[in-house]
Amino acid sequence: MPMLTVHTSTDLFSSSRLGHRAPRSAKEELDSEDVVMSDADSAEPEQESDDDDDRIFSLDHTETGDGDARVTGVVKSRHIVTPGELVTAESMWMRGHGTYSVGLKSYSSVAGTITRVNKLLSVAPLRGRYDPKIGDHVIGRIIDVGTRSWHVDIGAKQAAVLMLGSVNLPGGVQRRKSESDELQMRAFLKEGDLLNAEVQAVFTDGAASLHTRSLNYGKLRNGYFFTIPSSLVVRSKYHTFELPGGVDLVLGVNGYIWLRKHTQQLGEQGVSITRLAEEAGWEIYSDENEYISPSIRENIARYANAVKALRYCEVGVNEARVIAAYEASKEYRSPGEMIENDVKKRIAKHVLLATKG
Amino acid sequence: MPLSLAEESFLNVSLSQRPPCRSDGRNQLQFRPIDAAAGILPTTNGSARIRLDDGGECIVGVKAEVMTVSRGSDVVNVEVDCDIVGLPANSPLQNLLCATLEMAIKNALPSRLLRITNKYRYKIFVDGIILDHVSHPLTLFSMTTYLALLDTRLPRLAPDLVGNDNDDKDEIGIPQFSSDWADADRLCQNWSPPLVQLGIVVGKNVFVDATGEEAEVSDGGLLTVWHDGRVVGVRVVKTRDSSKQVFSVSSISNAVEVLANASRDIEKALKGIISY
Amino acid sequence: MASRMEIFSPEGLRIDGRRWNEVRHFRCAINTHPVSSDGSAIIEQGNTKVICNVIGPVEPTLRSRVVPDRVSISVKVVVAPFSTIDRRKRSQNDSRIQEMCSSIQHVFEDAVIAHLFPRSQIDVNLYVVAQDGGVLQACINATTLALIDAGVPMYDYVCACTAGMLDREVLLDLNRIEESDMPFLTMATIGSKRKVALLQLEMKVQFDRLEPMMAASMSGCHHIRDLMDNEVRKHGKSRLERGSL
Repeated sequence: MPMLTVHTSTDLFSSSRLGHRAPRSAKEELDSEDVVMSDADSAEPEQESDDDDDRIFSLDHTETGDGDARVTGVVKSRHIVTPGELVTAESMWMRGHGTYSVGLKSYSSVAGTITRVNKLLSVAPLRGRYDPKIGDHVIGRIIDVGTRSWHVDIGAKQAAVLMLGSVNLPGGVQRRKSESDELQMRAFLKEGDLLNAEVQAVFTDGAASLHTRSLNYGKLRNGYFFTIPSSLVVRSKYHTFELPGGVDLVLGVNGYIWLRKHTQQLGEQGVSITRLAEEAGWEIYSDENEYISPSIRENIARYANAVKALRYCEVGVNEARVIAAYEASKEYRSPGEMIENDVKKRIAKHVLLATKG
Repeated sequence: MPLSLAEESFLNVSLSQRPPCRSDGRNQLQFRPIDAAAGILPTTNGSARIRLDDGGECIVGVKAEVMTVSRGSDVVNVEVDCDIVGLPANSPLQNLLCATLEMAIKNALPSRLLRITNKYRYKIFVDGIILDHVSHPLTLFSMTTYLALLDTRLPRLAPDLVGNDNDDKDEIGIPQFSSDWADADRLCQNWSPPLVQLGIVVGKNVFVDATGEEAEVSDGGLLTVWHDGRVVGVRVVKTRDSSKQVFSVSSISNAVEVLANASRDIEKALKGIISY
Repeated sequence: MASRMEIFSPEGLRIDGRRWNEVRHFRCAINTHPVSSDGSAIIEQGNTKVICNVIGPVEPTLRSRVVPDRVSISVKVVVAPFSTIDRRKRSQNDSRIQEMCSSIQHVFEDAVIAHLFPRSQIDVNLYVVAQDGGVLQACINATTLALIDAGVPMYDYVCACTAGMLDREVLLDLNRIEESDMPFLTMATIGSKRKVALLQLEMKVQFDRLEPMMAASMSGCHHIRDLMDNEVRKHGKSRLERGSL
């Protein structure tokens, strides 16, 4: 195995000594004729070129194909729009995220694709930070402990808020919150602690409010944390998976990932959840890990590298693909071999073939 | 961002058990793949860029300036400077990087390589920008500097001046250089730059190319300066605020041996990028 | 003035062989640093090379940077000591750099739809690794691309271009030698309309010559907008194709 693999860059820096004392090879012709400023006064500021008219989002351009003007449902266009591009000049559409309007016309404000939900037109950016939605299962890290709430980093544009009233406290649900709880908030969750939670509400400015009022949520331990872009997470009904090899995966919708040793979750012991919630003790806020065997640790590393291979190839991540990548990785005796870029590509290719259809 | 206590103890146990299990499965001597390019900046005498897969990135440019020296002086004029984005100027980390590299190069570079005439010498400026670092930037900066120095070329004197400058009695103006860049001399024709490696120690284990989180749970770090096939300098470094920095003699000698092996591999890999 | 002949020959050719209304070789790439930043771009205009990294919008790290009704943008420019022909170390507090930062910041505070992200911050880090004239314009163009890559909503592309005046001749997109020899202005426009976001002229020039310079640099801006738009579309297409795997 090579100790260090060196790749040579393939971006703008790859062209070594380009243009060094050399005559310019490519000249960009300016096709404009002599521009005289006096034209400016006569030119209409809102003048659109013919080209723009072609890009107007109208029903003929959608991919439904049936031409019904009242089609419902979600239509995603494959056409790329860029900032400042006219999206529609028709007043029948409602304008959603990623657009702004000047008069009756709507323009795109990001580079992305147009999505239509019923009469709502929005532009989904190609890339961007995680945008919290109600009900999302996310993983976060405490960045700040406030008076009655925690600030949690969930990789969004603003930190999320976790209110003291939105967590289970030791002693069960019926317990009343007292002033002493406010004073010992660091005993529950402190700076740096990881937890998984559900997005309870989204404020108008886009910040999320979280809750952990279920035994599926709460402080995380017995494992390893890393992140992928949130756009790569495939949303599904559940985001906690029990994987082969004694490992659990918590795949946060925000792209934060937790791999841990599989443990009997409290809810699996055959007692009713409500009763358990009442009996939840201090162990839900424990910082101590259980014993984790070396082979489980290696499996966690293998799963982490499997997900990182998918990340490298920008393949969406879901349960089936993670398992397929894990199976494919067994070809390599040590998980350390999976950090090489061509191995990552091979694994991602295998995964796409295995999970097709 | 600090790690949680549970994460910290998970990583610490994984790294200190025997055999250790790194969070990305690498063995102790294994580096993450890097993306490297040399000769990327036309305004420099030599330049290089290295990117790590965690987003860490460093660009180094080497510039040579002509200086006058008093007769017989043997000073090697090298200045190393770097700008670490996100840290203020003169931060401890920046000082560590610059001082270590500058000392290493000064000790390793023979003064004859910088000689132009008896009166004029080159002064070498090594400037780096560390655009981003997640793990400790020392190894990254050293590798990029190594590559940039390998790429460095110094212009030759103009041909008509070469013959008569040996006893430069009436050497008045700044020497004239050949304008042909292709004709310039490689600084590293017969010389290898030094390479600084940082290893981290967790329990009895030593790791090269530590990730940020690995350094965060380490007992401490050890840097070695590698030049000409052997280790010429060792130093203990703090890798986190609460690191112990107390090592046994045996663990230090073990670490030095590990880092020496790693340096040998890296040197070979980096030299493979530049073809003379 | 022997150099005058070289700068603009009677045949209408400039020192690097361009005609008056040609911009330099322009290359750009977006999403160049996907791991370390939210948005990133590299711009090359002639021999000037600028890297831009954008972090954000994120929760402000300092309380003092919280603006209740809009996003706060901060710009940091790092000029590499090796970017010029003669090595020159500039400190972060260099007044020229500080001024450039605030110019760029003001331009983008107007171009970004700032009220969408109240109480958050965007950090723009610019690295000038090689300079051959037109550093400010390259920084602005790189910032535009990096912000687009980060998915930050903007009214339109912000594009910048320089134009100089040599006697009665307007020259577009000056290189370093030309910049040192004639008065020039840097102009940034928002979109393909005639909206000016920035105009900087730091030398004496006759008033009646200002207009042709502005007209030329505006046409240069529009041309650069097209070039950048092409790159963004190309990148978007390749992303969509990869996503469809």
